[in-house]
Amino acid sequence: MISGIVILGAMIVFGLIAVVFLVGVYNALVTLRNAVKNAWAQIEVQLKRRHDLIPNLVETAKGYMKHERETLEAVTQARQQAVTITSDVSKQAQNENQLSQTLRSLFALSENYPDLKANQNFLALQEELTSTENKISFARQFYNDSVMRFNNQVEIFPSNLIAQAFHFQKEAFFEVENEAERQAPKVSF
Amino acid sequence: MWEQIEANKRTSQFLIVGMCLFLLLVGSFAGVILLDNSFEAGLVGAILGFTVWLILFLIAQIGGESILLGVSGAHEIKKEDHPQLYNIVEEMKIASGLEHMPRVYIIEDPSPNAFATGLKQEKAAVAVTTGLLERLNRSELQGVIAHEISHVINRDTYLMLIAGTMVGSVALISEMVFRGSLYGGSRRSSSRNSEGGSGGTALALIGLIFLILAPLAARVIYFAISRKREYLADASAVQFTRHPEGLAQALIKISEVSEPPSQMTPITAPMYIHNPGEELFATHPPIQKRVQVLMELAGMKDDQPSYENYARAFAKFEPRSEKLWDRTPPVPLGLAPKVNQLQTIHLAEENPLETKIQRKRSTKATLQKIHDFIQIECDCETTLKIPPAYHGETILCPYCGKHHQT
Repeated sequence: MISGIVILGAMIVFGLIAVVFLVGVYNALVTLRNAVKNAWAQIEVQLKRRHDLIPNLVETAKGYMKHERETLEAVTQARQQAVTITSDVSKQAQNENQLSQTLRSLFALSENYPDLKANQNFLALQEELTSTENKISFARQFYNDSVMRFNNQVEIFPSNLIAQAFHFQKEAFFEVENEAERQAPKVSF
Repeated sequence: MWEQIEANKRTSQFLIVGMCLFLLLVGSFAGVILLDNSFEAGLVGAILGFTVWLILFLIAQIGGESILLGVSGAHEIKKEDHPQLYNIVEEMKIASGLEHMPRVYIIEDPSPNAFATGLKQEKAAVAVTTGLLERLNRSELQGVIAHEISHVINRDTYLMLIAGTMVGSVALISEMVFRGSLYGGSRRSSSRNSEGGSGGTALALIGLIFLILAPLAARVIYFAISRKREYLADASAVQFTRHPEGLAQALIKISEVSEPPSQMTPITAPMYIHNPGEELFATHPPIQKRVQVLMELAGMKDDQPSYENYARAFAKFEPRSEKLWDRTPPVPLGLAPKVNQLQTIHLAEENPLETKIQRKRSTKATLQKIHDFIQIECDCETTLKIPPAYHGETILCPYCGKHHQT
């Protein structure tokens, strides 16, 4: 009789511990997944900000950089491509990287135009865009960190069991450059 | 990271309780000295001490940040006032994953310095001096802001605000006692004669010594806490910017000015990024050491600075010291421990010995420049570095034996 009560009590305690553990792991997974979503939202805010700034920049630069029509057009075109939102994360990332590169070459060329470099409006825009570039890369860094933590939790035992039971899927990283560019350049003679 | 924040929370709680007991003791001694040598007097003193602490604690809870910023002469800015500074703070907010944008303050002072404050992350504020803005370039400023945001993320600002309150109340009570014993000296001595006797006088004397030492002890504890937080903040800052050189150069530039901001007080000093004070009450680890660790980190082949790498770099300069952090190194934010890679890096580091030596030499030279070493080029291509403590007229080159004028 008494031993029966003890066994029953032990089972109840064990069951309670299991439930608390389950709830804890589930909540941790949800929190981590929300962090990933939040981080992605941050990137989108900054990308949008960059898209909004570029027409102003091109407009300001146009008056001074008469001989750089091609570069300016490349920037506008790359922006156009990046603005069209695709659901594919890696495709989106590729378009944004394209835009970053055209912007970089525009700023590099602007060094040849002292009048442009003296324009207050241009300087302000340059600081804004530099900062937005930084913000994008920091947001991406934070996004990737969040994804890493979430993915670890999804894979690590024992939380992977709960992740599987509730269909938590691993998230994709925001890759820095596209695959081809990451490979070491081949030197041929 | 999270372990470290948890540890900070626990330290805060421990500190609040410990300092409260300390204050009760101080208060009861104050009672014994000021009133008479009875149990009731001690009790009254203890209650008084507790009340002082409670009032200061509540003030700190409600408006600690504004008082601190007000005392430091900081005024809040908007984005239009200094777009670059504002942008950098926003960048670091994003890199650290802070949810709310901290308020940005500028202090009109030629001495380069910065601090962060905020009991809660929502109420966080970052303040920099105009001297800092003039001296540093963008990436250096970014390093400094990252360091400050790290203090907010790691809850150091909370800890320091609470600890500062404690030190303030201890100082206040002992000052009250000294003022009180000056004015009420005669009354006290008569009452002691009637009641206490020699034993009571001895107790009062112990109490007096304790009260003299109390503010000092409180301050030493307070500063010891703050020193350890600096390394963690440096490590987190590098984690956010992924650019150790920026912070290292900023620290060198900041340490070149020995004049602290005019509005810096003993209570606010530990909150600044650098406190050019005397060694004994140092609120910060020596800046050379922080720079050394950062430069070591910058030279590592693994281009992703993590907490582990920072701890390794730190261990190189202080192999015998206790662990840098109370627990096992915090899990690097988003960097999975790559055991294999670490080993290969270790091997790779051995091979390009030349670059390693070069790097060490350049770091050392920078540090020596800070400390006014005189450099003399000898004909045999040796550079003699003479410490400022050397007082001889001539010096011998250790390689070719030539004499040089100092």
